[in-house]
Amino acid sequence: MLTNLRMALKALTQNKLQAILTLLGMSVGVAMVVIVSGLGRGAQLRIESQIESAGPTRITIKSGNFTPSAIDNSGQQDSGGGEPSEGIATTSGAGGDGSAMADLSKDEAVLDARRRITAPKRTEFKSPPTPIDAAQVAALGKLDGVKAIAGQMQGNASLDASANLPTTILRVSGFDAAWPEMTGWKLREGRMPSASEHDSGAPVMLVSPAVAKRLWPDAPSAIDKIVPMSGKQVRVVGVVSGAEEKGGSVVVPLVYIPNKLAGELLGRNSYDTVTIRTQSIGVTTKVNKEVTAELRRMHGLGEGWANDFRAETQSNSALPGMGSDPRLARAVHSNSVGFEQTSWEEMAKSLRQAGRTFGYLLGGAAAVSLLVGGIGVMNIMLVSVAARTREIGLRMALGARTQDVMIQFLVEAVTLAALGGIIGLALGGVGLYVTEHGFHTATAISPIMLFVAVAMAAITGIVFGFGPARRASLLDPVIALKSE
Amino acid sequence: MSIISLQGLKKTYKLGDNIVQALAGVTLDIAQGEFVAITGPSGSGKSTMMHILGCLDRPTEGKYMLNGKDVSSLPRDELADIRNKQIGFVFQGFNLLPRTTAVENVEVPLLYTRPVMPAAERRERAMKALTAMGLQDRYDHHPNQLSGGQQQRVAIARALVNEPTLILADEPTGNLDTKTSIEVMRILQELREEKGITIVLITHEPDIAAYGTRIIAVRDGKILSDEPNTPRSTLEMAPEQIMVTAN
Repeated sequence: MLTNLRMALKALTQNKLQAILTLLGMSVGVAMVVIVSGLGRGAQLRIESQIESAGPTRITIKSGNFTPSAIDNSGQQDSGGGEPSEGIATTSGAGGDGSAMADLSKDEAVLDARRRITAPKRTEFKSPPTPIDAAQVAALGKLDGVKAIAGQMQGNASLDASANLPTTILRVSGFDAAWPEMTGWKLREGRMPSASEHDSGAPVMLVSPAVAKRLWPDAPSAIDKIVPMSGKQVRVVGVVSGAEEKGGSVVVPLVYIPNKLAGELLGRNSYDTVTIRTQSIGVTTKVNKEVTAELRRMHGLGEGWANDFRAETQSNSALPGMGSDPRLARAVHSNSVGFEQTSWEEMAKSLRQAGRTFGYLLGGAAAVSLLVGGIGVMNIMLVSVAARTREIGLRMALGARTQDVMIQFLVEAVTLAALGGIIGLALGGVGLYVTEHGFHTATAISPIMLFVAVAMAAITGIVFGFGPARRASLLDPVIALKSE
Repeated sequence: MSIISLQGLKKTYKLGDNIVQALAGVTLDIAQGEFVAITGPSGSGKSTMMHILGCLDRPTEGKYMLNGKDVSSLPRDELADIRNKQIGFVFQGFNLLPRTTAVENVEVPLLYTRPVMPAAERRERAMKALTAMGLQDRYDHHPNQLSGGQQQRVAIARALVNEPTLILADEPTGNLDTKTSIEVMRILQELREEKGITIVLITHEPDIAAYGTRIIAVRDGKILSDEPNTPRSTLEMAPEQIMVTAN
């Protein structure tokens, strides 16, 4: 085999120019495959991430009594999260005037929506809200379709006199071990608190780069800075970006600490918010229903009692914020069960379909260029066989069997194609780099694709080398020996 | 024991609409250790005979026994094996692979030997064959760096490397000057005398045929004459020419 390879390389160096041109053709083909697969995969990954981020896989649970979600009796939008009620029975009447929608009254959907809005609501009792604690969160985490769950609590903590920082109060936000990944925090410096630090409530905190700059304007790094608060020496272990700044301000910077520590500092063990990531878009609404039922059960709420919490899916909470008519929003909202399950899936499906079509198209172009490369290989092999007929005859006279000659030329063709393939990989790599950095198009290379590209080059060599090799191996030795 | 036995050998070719009879019934026995010179003008059928004797071609009719085995209608690959193991070829144009060293050229038959021979053994045997031809110092020379006589000696080394019982030499001196031709004939004579190798030499030069122990003249595809011969001595050359073959 090694001898065959050496012979092949020797033979190729005898037709240098032709070999180089063929190599070029082959490598362009393989480079196309690499670029195309990189682009295609990049596009696909982007589509996936768009579907992922667009899809409502998040459910937010807020503790407390709320007026019917996002809308109060007078039809005003309540984006602030509602008012905890006083624990007395209230009646949600069928208030609001329908005149604002008069011009839309001919639309069937709008009429239907209006019927929903103006229908008299049942009287519901409200009880003082049961706090949501770690045990309940753990129970919810065991429900089907829940991928991750994390509770949060926020509150102000005053710094000790020894702090010597530009502020005297910090807003502390407690988080769970699962939280950073759920929200996509990126670690800029230092580390995340370990699982055991979460469990024990170790005095550690994370800050955002902006807050780090505000608290320690002159220090190069916030890591290992100590913040004394409520008698605890809390150490900064990491700087994270991508964290929501909600709740903090210039005067009262927001820092992140483990929930256990937050509970100790704030003197409570209940969460303000619980966030759930569901496993897929399709199950979000179902999970939301189950979560609601489970929480109602755990809170001992019977028939006729209103929720003492609010569980909203991402799309639910997004709708009222879009500036639409609140009643219309509520109409859509009440229909959003079907809306989520079908339209997101439809959208995802069509996006994926588009991605696949794009992939096929590019794949076709790559296949054509590989074909062209293969024809080049075939051409040089035919030339090579013709030019070396005498050598073939000699080898046959010296005892080469049909198969020996065949293998010799096949190895030559495959060597050529594989060399072209390797050069093509390099070219393709450069091509992808240029595409990504020059045209800002997302690309992604999978190692399997690289292997496939070279393998395809080699297979092209075999396929297109077969004809010439067979022709060589079947030559009549007498005639071959006589040729010049 | 006869190493070659031809019985009623015929070979016809189709050239367009014409049927050419290259061999018209040849019956012949060659014993081991003979140095047979086959002579004849071009078109006499001696080349066809040589192709069939060399298992490069098959007769249309008749029987060819080589070392007691009928090889007249063996399949391609079996003929290839016979050429590889039992026959050594020496061609007029040397037929060495260009851009390939002398020792690599000698190794070529060993590449096709079954079972597969390890590279080290191939090299060792090729070097031994080259040494026997006095070319051990030139093993890494390419053919274009060697003289005609040296090239033909490399070719003879290649023919000998697989220790065949029969050497077929097709106009081996055709491209050589007289002096070098005599050298080559001396080598062939020595191979016969020292190793008992049977040699069949095809030539159109009576001078060269005279070195054989038996001369067969061929005309129009038939044997015209077949007579024993007292081989001409290669010692009829100048002392400095003998030097070359002495090592």
